[in-house]
Amino acid sequence: MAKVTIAKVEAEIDVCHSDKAKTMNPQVDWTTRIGGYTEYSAFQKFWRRSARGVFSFSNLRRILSLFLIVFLWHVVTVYQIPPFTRVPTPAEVWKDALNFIPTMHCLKCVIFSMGRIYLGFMVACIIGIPLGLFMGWNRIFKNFTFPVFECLRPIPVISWIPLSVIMFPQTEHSIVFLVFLGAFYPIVLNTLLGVESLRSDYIQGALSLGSKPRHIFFDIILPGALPSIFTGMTVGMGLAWVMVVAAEMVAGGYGLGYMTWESYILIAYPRIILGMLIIGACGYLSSTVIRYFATKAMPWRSLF
Amino acid sequence: MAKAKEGNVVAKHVSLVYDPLGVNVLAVADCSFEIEAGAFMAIVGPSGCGKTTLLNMIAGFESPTEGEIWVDGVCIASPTIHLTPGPDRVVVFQHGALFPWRTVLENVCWGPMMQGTMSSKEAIEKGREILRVAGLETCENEYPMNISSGMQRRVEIVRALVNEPKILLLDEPFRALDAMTKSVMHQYLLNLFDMTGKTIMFITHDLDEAIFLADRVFVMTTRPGRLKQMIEVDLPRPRNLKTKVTDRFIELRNQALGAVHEEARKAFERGEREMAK
Amino acid sequence: MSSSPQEKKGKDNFIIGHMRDSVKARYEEVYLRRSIEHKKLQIKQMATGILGGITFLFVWYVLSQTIIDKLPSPWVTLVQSVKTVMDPWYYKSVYHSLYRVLVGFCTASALAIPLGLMMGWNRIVRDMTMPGFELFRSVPPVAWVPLSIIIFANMEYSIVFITFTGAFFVVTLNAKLGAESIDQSLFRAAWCLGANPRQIFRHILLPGALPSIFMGLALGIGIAWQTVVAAEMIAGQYGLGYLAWESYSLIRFPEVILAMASIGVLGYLCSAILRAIANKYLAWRKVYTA
Repeated sequence: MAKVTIAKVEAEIDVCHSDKAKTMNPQVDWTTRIGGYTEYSAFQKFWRRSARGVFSFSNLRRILSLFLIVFLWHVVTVYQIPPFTRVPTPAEVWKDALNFIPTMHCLKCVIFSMGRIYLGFMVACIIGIPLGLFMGWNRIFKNFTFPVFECLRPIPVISWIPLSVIMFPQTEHSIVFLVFLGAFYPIVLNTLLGVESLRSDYIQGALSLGSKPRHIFFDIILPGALPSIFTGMTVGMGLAWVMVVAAEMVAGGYGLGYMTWESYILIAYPRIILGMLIIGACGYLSSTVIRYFATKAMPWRSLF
Repeated sequence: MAKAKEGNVVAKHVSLVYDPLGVNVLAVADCSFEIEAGAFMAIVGPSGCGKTTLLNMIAGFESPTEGEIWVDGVCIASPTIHLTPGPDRVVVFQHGALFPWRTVLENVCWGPMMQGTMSSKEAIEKGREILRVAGLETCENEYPMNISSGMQRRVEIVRALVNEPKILLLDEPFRALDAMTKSVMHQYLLNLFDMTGKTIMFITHDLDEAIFLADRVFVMTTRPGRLKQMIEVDLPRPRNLKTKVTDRFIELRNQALGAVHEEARKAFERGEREMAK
Repeated sequence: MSSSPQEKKGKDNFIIGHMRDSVKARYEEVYLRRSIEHKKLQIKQMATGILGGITFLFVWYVLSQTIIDKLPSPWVTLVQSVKTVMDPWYYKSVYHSLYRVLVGFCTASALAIPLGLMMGWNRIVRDMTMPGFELFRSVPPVAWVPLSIIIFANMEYSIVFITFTGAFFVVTLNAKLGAESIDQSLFRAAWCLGANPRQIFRHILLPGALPSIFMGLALGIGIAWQTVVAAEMIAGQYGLGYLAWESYSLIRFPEVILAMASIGVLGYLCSAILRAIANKYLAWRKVYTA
């Protein structure tokens, strides 16, 4: 009995797998016997995938939650529920946005802040990445610099603001220095981590293939540490934004942080929220730019 | 412990279709089998062929798209009926699922304590006793990270047995062990089987392991998985290392080796990434 | 089987005494030399570190004398700091900052841990809260200062709110990550063993997420310290951040550096205490860490 079953099953499988059977004997095809299984064409597959992706319950819930937040904001501010009595309503913020965003003032603020960030961030990368790489490469150098680094790290970068204003009389220089400092720590730390956490198998493999130290550095260590370096850069970019906003609020100079603080002084409250939203959006955009460069620079990683 | 007469599993034309993002994937196609109460059944197949999916359906983690699964005359899984996982069909997972934040004794007593069938004192007593019987009383108060992987697997099997399940489902439990530990664990599992007499369903990719341990071996094809061949293993119990070199063992192995090898070759040529986690 | 320490020593001496001279020489050559070398290496490491510190102080001194003449030199800073530390007014600032940080941090953790765990546990909760969460998270805590001043009339509450904002998002995120990083087979095993969802939440999710939660708490308190400084500088009275800014206005530059250093030390101490608690109570943790 068992042998007959086996033979029958095997015969069916052989028939199924031959292309001729699919066209000539459709009733033998086991796919039609099983309910709920249909073959989709390529276009159908693409459409089902994208439709599921865009209109899935998950996405609908997310959009609903955003609407709920705006709705709650509206209710709380329009009906003046304490303590939110002085908070502007969504309508006011929207009106102010329509007035303010197309103006030159807004563009000037954004450009000033962005300029400081990118300048400070570039300096932090140029100094920080080689420093981190060298610290990972040479143990004596690491023992020399790391204790000082670790002692300075707990000091919040924001508390450097008065000192930076003391050291650099010009506001621009002091803000760029603060941005540099904010981005510096994560970049160096993550670069160091990237170098140190490389599997020694890679280096041993390279050595056994007869490479010189410079080959190991440029072909093994640098690409291997790249993911961590980009993580450090993303974190550093986030912190750079925090620093720019804080520095501008405290020390002045045109820019988004200064504009937000100024709106509070000038009692133009809708602009405060607008300023916050623009800061958030610009920060998110900067991180996205870095992530984009990361995926371009590391084609061997499927996700970053 | 007396021989149990429960745990009869009957699967009728079971199939499962995954639908991740609009692309239908047939994981298990039209499997039918029967496990007698108190029997040891093994399923052998290449990676990603759907054997874990079959086990998940019996355990209750997934629901078949078509077909029915009956345990002791009660339908537990079908497209309309879905019995949630419970202590009557306990699973021992491939990668360890011991709770790392609990000691061995607490892990073993966890099942009875959560079910609320007995007080915590009784549960601890029962746990201690079963650990003693299993020979694991020395590591009672150790955390799982401090004991070897062989002992961890033993503790997991004991943790499953404490609940007196109808069926014990083992999902490639010895996959991560080295060959020497594996052979010791085989002996251990066989001793437990002889002692308790539970129905066991064992999934593996190793044909030798399956034939050595089981009463009945099913060979599964690559995705979509169907049961291609069945071998009745009539080697006498209790089995030991010498069984592996008897003529009967080699004969049984040769029967199935061709089928297993062909399926492995097909899976290899497909070049698909392993769907098994 | 058991032997007293004297017996053990006797055994070792017995063994070493009966070692062939060549073997004994080799033992001394290899093992003893290795342990001496190891100690030498450690001393070298420490010396290099101290040398680095001295270089840093030297560079500071040189900079303060030449290019950046407004920067006070290390010696002047030290002397002034010792004088200020004797002053009780300094401790008032420390108390105020510490109070704000702890209140804000504890409130934030009390709200963030349950929220994060629920976000990791339930898909619906996660979908409903993630967009708002990400939206509010992208605004740096410092940018919340003007808004918080107009919401909370009381200055203290507004600063505590800023600290809360700083710590809240980090702790939630880490709690969520901790809940999501638990191996799925642990949940399935618990389900098999007959636990209902409430028991699974209490016995699997909570302990499993605990390492990440502690890491989030250590990070959160660090960030709380940073944001309290920012808030105090911009909008505060009392507190170490205010002390820093005020000392700058009063041209008392060494005190600026003292304020910075105090904040650093306090922040580090808080994080270290949390980490010590974590290490003590999460002894089983090695399973998860790489």
